[in-house]
Amino acid sequence: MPAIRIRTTLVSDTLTLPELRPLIGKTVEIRVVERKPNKRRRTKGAAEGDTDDGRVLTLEEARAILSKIPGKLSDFVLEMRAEERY
Amino acid sequence: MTTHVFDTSALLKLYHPEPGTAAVEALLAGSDRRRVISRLTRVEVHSALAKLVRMGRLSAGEYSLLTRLFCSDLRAKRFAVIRPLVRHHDLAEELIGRHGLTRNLRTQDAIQLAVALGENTATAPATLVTTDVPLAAIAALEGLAVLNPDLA
Repeated sequence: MPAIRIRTTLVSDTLTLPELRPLIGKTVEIRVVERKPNKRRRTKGAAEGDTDDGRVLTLEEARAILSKIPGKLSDFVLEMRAEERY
Repeated sequence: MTTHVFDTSALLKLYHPEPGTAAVEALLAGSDRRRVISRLTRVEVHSALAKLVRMGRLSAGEYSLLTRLFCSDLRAKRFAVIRPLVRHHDLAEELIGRHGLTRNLRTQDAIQLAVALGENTATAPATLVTTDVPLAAIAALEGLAVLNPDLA
């Protein structure tokens, strides 16, 4: 059977890869190789950080990352503002 | 048509599950209103996330992913971004003259408030969405409707 190549951005150490469903129950070899990011290419009108090849998180994925921040980010922002001198 | 002007304290509730997140989601759900942020809020979101990296709460990679999503949301017109213009800065100076002598109205707060007031028109009244109680109080004195998602 040919190898399955999946390119994704890891956001946690738990993977959900539906592409592997046909292999469930079989013994497989899993290799994970870090890809070097491509040079950033900005298209006209593209927002900063919105690269042509960069994957964009879903809101749920973003919330999963930020959920490890305790307390309220709104309070964190207010504390940041309080540190401003003028 | 109404306009909701989100400051950073309210906006980040969309991305961070916390009290007030449901209220922000509800404000974003309807199609009968404009959602606006100032260009300063865009910078402040980056600044807040960068500080979390410096504090060791986020990795640099997570910062990149999160800011990319935020910029993608802006590009998708989830929020209109208002660039502070000379008239906003002029109004900010007036606001500091009116309130800054007795209240702690900082430079950035004044510009944010000026942008919100600039969006407030008779045909499209604006509401400032913020958890910043002192800023909300000054906004109310200026006749602007305010909404604190923590209290909604």
